[in-house]
Amino acid sequence: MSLEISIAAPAWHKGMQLVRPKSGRPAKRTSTTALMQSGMQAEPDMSELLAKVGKTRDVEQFELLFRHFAPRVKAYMARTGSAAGAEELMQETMVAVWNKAAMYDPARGAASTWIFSIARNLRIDAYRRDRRPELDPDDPAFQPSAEPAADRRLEGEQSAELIRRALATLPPDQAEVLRLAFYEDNSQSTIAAALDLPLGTVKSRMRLAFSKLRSVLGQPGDLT
Amino acid sequence: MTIRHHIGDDLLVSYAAGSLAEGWSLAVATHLALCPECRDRLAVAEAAGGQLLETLDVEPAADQSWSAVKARLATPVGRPAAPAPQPKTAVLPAPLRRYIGGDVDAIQWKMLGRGAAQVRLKTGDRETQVRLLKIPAGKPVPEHSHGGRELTVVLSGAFNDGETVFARGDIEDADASIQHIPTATPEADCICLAVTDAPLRFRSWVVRALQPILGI
Repeated sequence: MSLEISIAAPAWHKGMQLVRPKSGRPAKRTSTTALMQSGMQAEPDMSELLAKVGKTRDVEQFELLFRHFAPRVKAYMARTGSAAGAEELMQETMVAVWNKAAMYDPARGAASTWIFSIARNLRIDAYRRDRRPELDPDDPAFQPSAEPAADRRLEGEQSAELIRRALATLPPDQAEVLRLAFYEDNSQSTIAAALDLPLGTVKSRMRLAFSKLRSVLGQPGDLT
Repeated sequence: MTIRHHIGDDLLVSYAAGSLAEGWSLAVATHLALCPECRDRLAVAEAAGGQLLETLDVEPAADQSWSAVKARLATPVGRPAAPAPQPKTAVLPAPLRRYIGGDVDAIQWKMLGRGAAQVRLKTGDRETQVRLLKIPAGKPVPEHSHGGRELTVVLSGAFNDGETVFARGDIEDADASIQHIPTATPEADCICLAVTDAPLRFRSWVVRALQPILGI
C-alpha cells in the first residue's frame, strides 16, 4: 500500500472549485478564474452546505457533500483498515452524516472536522477490539469554560484555512508523523518502529507539529 | 477549579486521531471532561484531522456508491434512544462512570492494606492496565518506578509528588525514568485514575514479593 498522501494543500483548494451545472451533477473542477470569467457561481463552502442540509434535508444538496467527502472518507477507511471494508464504512459514515446533519454547528468547526470525527469513530468500532472513551457534554462533572464561548470558538472555515496553510508548511518529518498517526492508525510506538526512530523523537515531532498548528490560531504552546 | 497539569500534545494528537489505546484514552477523556483549555486544544487537533482528510488524493465517487447511499436516506431514522438519566452532581466524569456503573459510592474497593484500596477497570486493549486508587489522607503510595508510562488523573483529594501538588483534574505523565513517592495531602483521601503500560516495579523486595498477591 502506498503511504503517499499529499500533505501540501493541492492547488485546487484555493484556485479551483467544484461547480454544479444544471444537470444536477458536479462538473469537473474548473478554475476560479474561468468561473469568474464565465460569471458562474462557485460552489458554496462545505460547512455552509452541511449546515443547510441539516435544516432543509435537501437530498440534492447532500449529493454535493457526498461527491466531495465520500471519496476522501473511503480513502481514509482504506488506509486505516482494510480496502475491502472501505466502501461499506464510507457509506455508513455518509448515512450518519445525513442523519446527524441537524446537530452540526458551523461555528464550532469546519464540516471536514465534524465528518472526520464521525468517520474515525465508525472506523474504531469496526476495526478495533477496544473502545475510545468519549466525552459527554451533558455530564454534571463536566467543567465548563470560564470564558464565553464566543471568545474561544474556532470560526469553522476560517480556522480550517489557517490550519490547512500551517500543515502545508510543516517540515516533512513532522508532517509524516502527523499523517501516520491520523491516517494509518498507528500508535506512537508503531510509528517509532516503522520509521526506526526513538519513541521520544516521535513524540517531540508530534509536539512540534501541533504547537505550530496552535500558534497559527493564537493558542498558547504546550501546557505541560 | 484551576487545572495546573495538562495533557501533553502527543497524547492529545493521538486521542484526536483515534490511534490511542482504550486505557490511555480513558485517562485523556477524564482529564478533558475537567479541563476546558485542553478541550480547545483537542478542537485544533481534530481540525487537523479534517484538513488531512481534505488533502487526500482521491478518485471521484462512483455513481453506484451515491445510488446506494441515496436509497438509504429515505429510511426514517429511529429516534435516538433517550439519554440515560444523569445524576445532578458527580465526582467521576462520565467516561469513567460508564466503567464503574455509577459514581464514587458505587466503586467496589479492594483493600490493599494500611487503608489503601484499588479497583481494576477492564478495557479491551492489551497494552494498558487501568485502576482506580485510593490513598489514605497523608499516606504515600509505596515508592515505585515504572516499566513504562504511567498516567495519573486526580479525581478527588490531592497528592504531592516531590514539590509538585496534583489536585482534581490534574494529570501526571510519568515515564520509566521517574522514581517517585506520591503522597496524599493530609486533608482528605485521594482518589485517582492510574493507567500504566506495564506492571509497576516496586523498589522494596517485600512489596515486590507481594505484588502478585496484592494484584498491583
